[in-house]
Amino acid sequence: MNDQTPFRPRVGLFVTCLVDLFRPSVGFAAVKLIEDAGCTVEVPAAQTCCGQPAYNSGDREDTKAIAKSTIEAFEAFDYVVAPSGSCAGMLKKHYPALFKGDFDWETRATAFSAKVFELVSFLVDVRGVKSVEAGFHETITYHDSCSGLRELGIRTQPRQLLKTVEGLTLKEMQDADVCCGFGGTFCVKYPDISNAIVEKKTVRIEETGAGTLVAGDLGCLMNMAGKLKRQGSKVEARHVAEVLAGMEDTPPIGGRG
Amino acid sequence: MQITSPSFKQNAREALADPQLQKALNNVRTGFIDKRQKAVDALPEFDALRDKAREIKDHTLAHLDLYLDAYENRVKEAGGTVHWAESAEEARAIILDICRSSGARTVTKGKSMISEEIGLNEFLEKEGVKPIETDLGEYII
Repeated sequence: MNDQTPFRPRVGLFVTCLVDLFRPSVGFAAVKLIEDAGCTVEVPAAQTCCGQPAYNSGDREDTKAIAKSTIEAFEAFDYVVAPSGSCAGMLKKHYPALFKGDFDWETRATAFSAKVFELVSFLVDVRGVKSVEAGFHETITYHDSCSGLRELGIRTQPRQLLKTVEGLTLKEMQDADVCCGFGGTFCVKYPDISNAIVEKKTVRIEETGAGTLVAGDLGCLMNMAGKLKRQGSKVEARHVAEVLAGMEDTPPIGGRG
Repeated sequence: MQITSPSFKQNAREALADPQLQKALNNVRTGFIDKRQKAVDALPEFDALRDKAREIKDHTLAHLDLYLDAYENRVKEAGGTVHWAESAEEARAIILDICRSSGARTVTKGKSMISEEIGLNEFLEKEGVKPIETDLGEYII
């Protein structure tokens, strides 16, 4: 039999807590983008958190328990994709380090790690996606989230795809790669410092004159959207997946439906 | 060394409300970040050089026994003496001996992180030898 159907990799979508609880549209956008890139997508129901809040608070034992259940739920897939550089970084970079010295789990975590990708880097680096079929008629500015940028090297990939969105103009802000002050548990532990950092960030965002702020991590987006809103700004915030999937009609983050 | 981490939150709040400090920190961005970027842009091989430097450091650390011996030989050839210490305590004692042997009451020292780590200044002061830092940065920061 001459089967011409190309191989469709099975992707397990790691939804992430914030997408699940605050912004499910990012999950649906991710499913569309991964399917458009020639893959099948499944969302294992056994998934929970990546374990980062526990890990960053020093609770190694609970983190290990969470990591084991994540690995068990996802290791049968060809790829594991998350619409977040922060959670993907946890799965890819910190899981193997977490199990150092535990031969069996370190081996499993390392094999699992090789399959994990942040959504946009998966599309561009793994699937070779060069453009998307979407329209977004707005000037946007793009914020590089820390973990995605520094742990996973995500910088050019989202910009590459955003430039192919019809009607979209990308206007870079100064200090696009500087932290927004969120930092996961950091903003809870040190709200004063977090606030001082995000105040600088929103100045940079406003300077561009862009109408929409785009980023790849919902934590950072909610932090910046919250600050912008309290400052009475008109700038709206959206996740990069929503823009690339053409979900222009979804209300912005923190906006009215 | 005074430990300030228990009052970090309060200290941070005060630092954020300190206009002079905030102004100085804002200067850091033009003084360090922008100027660094300018220097990086003028050196296309920057990342390759940085990788090379890391490789050299990693290699040296992995073969430290060899390099420390080689270093000692070179110092001896140049007429110097190398003192070996296994602990902070031992290192402090060796330094104090050298000071005592020349009857020193005052000693000038250049900036060194290892002397910070072994708590040399406090130790010398306690032993009646007054250390004077010659590194200008100590006085600025």
